[in-house]
Amino acid sequence: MTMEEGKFGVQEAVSLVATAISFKVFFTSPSLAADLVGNNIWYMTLISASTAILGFTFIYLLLRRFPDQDITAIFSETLGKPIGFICSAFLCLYLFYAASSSITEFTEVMRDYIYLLTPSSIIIGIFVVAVMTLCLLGLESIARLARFLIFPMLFGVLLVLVLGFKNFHINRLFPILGHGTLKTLTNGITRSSAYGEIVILAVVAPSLQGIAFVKKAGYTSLILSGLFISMLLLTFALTYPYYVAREITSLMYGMATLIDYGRFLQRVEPLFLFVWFLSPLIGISGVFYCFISVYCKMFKISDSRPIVVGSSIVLFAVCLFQSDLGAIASATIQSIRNFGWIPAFALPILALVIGGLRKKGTKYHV
Amino acid sequence: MAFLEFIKNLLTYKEPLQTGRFELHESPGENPQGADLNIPVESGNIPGDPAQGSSTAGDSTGEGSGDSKEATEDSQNNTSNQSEDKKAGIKKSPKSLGKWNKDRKQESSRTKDLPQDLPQHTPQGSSQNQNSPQTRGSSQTQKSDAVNKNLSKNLQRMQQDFNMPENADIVIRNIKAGASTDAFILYVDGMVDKVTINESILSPLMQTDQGTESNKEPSADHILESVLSVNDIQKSTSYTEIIQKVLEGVTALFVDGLDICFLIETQGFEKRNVEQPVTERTIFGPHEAFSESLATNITLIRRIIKNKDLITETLPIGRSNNLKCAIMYMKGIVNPGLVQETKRRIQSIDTDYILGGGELNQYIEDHNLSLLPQILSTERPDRTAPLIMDGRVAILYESSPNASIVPTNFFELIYSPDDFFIRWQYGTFVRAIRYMALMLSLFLPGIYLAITQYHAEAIPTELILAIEKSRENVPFGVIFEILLMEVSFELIREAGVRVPEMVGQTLGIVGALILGQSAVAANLVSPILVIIVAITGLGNFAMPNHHLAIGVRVLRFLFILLGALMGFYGITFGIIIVAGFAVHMKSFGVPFFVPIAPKTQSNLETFIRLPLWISTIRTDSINTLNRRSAGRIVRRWKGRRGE
Repeated sequence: MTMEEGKFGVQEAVSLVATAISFKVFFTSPSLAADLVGNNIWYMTLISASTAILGFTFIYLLLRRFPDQDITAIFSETLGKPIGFICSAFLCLYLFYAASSSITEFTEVMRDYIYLLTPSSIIIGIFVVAVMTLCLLGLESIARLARFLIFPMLFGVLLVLVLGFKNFHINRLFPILGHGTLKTLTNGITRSSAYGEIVILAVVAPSLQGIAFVKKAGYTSLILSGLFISMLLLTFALTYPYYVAREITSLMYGMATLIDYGRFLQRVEPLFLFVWFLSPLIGISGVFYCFISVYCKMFKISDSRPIVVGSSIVLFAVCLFQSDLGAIASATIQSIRNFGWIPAFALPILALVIGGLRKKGTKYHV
Repeated sequence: MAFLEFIKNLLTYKEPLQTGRFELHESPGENPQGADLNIPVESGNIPGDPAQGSSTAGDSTGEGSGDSKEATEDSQNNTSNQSEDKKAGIKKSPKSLGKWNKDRKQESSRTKDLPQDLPQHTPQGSSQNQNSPQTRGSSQTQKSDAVNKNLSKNLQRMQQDFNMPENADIVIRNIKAGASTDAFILYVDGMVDKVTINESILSPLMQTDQGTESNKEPSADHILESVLSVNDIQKSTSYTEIIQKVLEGVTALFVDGLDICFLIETQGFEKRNVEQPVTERTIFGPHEAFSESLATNITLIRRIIKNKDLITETLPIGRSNNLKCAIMYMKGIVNPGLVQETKRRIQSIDTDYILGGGELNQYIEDHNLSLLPQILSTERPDRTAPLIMDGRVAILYESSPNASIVPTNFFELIYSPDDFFIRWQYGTFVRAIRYMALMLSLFLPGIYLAITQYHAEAIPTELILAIEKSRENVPFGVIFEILLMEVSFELIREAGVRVPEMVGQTLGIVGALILGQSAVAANLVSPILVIIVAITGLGNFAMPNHHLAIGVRVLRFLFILLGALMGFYGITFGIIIVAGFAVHMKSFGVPFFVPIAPKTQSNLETFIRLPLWISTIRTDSINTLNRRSAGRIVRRWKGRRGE
């Protein structure tokens, strides 16, 4: 009894994973990072991306030992059924937590900027319905949708960056070391959790038609996401002094409002709004689907549809619990950024090591 | 009801079953034919099922055939049983779980026993007609299907089967062939060419020295070779086939002493000439459109593709009306799995009548709930022929001036034949205009509503002031204004289609100008909204595919409502849902959004009309047997680098 998740190619996988990783840069994460390390956030994220690439290498090595198996099955095989089940549950919780906190963050930012009087439940409700619909359509559809919409989204972002060029000031990059090299390095490594969504590939590995595709999709996603996020953070650093940047909830939205090329080309937020809405919808759908997938595999449920509906209701309820942006930013998001690497990277490394010791898997399979 | 069932389906746990979903695979060898070709409906209801066909033909062998014979009888007796149950007042109760499981097991074992080959094309009037009412009647009374040597028995049988004398347009003409041999001809009045009958059948037959060889028994070969002067004559021994052919306009000749019947091609009914396309007009290129005659439509294609590998197979559709449809494809290019799947879907339709392409498309398309068409319907032979050459299957119909092409994708619905008749730069430009038209038609009213209601800060001050000033005397909300104008526009459009052509143009002008102006003067709508609705309408008219245009019109209302509810957030929600379903869809096993999602080759061709000498590969997603449509160097006169 296995779930049928469909098949998709490298480009779809890269689009999905890169969107799931990158959409966070449109919300509170850059200002939190600026608060931690100063104006050198743009290369701090490169350190995080490099750490994530290292982490993914272990995931890849693990998947290579167990071709055509997903992370849940690998946990069971390497760590034994009870511990494997616990590890899967931990990963499952992480994915759910990541999805719910991202939705709450999105909702609160929306309420701060656009829908000032709209109740959270409406925004969350619409979001959850969209996520639920995509999850019902399946992973293949989510990946294809990501591939289909990634170019319009990229176009929107790049247009904002190009039009915002007028507000760039090179002197804002200095001091180039920010709050200090050690702080940058430490935060860069721990915040590799920002790239933790790469674990999606481990969950859906059998859909990718071979380990070579997983490898290609994983490294490409991380490199592209790292460069994209770094480029955006660089433009933020060029646009805002870091002490201003740490106070702004959404630096990207703020940047779009600053655009002014005469009376008829100013404030291009509408253009950016679609990107702002689309990217989390796709990214969170991918993460939430992986939660459903891991859950169903843990309990050997072959039809995920009833689980999708039920879990969506739970997701809606959990999102409603947290309603304060400050609390979300400082507690929820920070905790995911600081400790997300444990389920994303540490658990696969543990499985790899124990699997190696117990001589499980196909060692030389390519 | 279908929608409610869909919702129920989503919320209900079901053990996943093999539904035989078709996927177009790389090569026929990879296609899990066994799984795909198990027809996912009860075997008794499949007209084209070979097992069923053989069982009723009386040459059934093996268990599978026996089962399907049973199933056929079940289906035949179904209606009468229902009425008997009603009369008897028997209440039907749902099956128990145990019984349901048992039945399912039996059904699956029966499906396994079915032959793995696809139901082959059956000649008209064989398996298909065994389900038709008249044939059912004959099979129930255990009549023989073979033509009798005794002419009077044949005559009696034909009169009985054609319900004579109630059936007034069936003509039976008794003659003396060669002055001594009795014979009769049978045809449907109005379906035949009487000149051919008089001059090429009756006249030579009734000449005293030609009917038969003197002092000998009548010889079929002699009649065929020396008497009848018609180009297309077939011999048949089956009443079922004879009946079907006569209904198609063929004349049947029975001769005393012969246990065969001559089926003489005499079709000659009234039909429309080949005229200009109505909904797919172009400036350049041919100005011919399909008509209601299947033979003419096939000829129009054959005139473009003069190739021996262009295959035309005819299939009957509709259990009782036996309409003919033809599937056309290029042997050696098309994926055989696609041809088989097309035939499987057409043959498995169990309904009394189908009135042509529009109806058949609804029976064979993959996603019936979708607002987007998954089958390309065209009235142009010059649109159909290149797609056949690309490896698609075209379905043409009797009495339908359209061809259906499978599989298709979303982007092909935006193409127009014009794109390929003009230079690639112009083609790319007009294609870009069409994409813009699609966007405007779909989103403009919704975005206008969202901006004015939720995101006013995003509009330059002068513009928002102008909008507000134009709306200051309008007592309604923007949503009401938009809906009023959109509904009025739809009314004008629908009325314009129904009224005569000349009046239609006047109505359009009167409706658009006078109604719009009057609405503004009466302060019912703002002037800017008239502009918005007009641009939206123009965008919709720019869609080259009528079915897509209707889908976009419906979706536009969805985006208006979502824009009114939640501004851009609502519209984005709509985009996600609509695009999510769209990328989920498949057209005959091919994802609907190829080559973008999933990405396949010829990605650029989607938006840019590539120069003809660069497009040398056939559409990647349909996995044709022959991928290359042109040589590596197309313009050899220019050399390798095209210099």
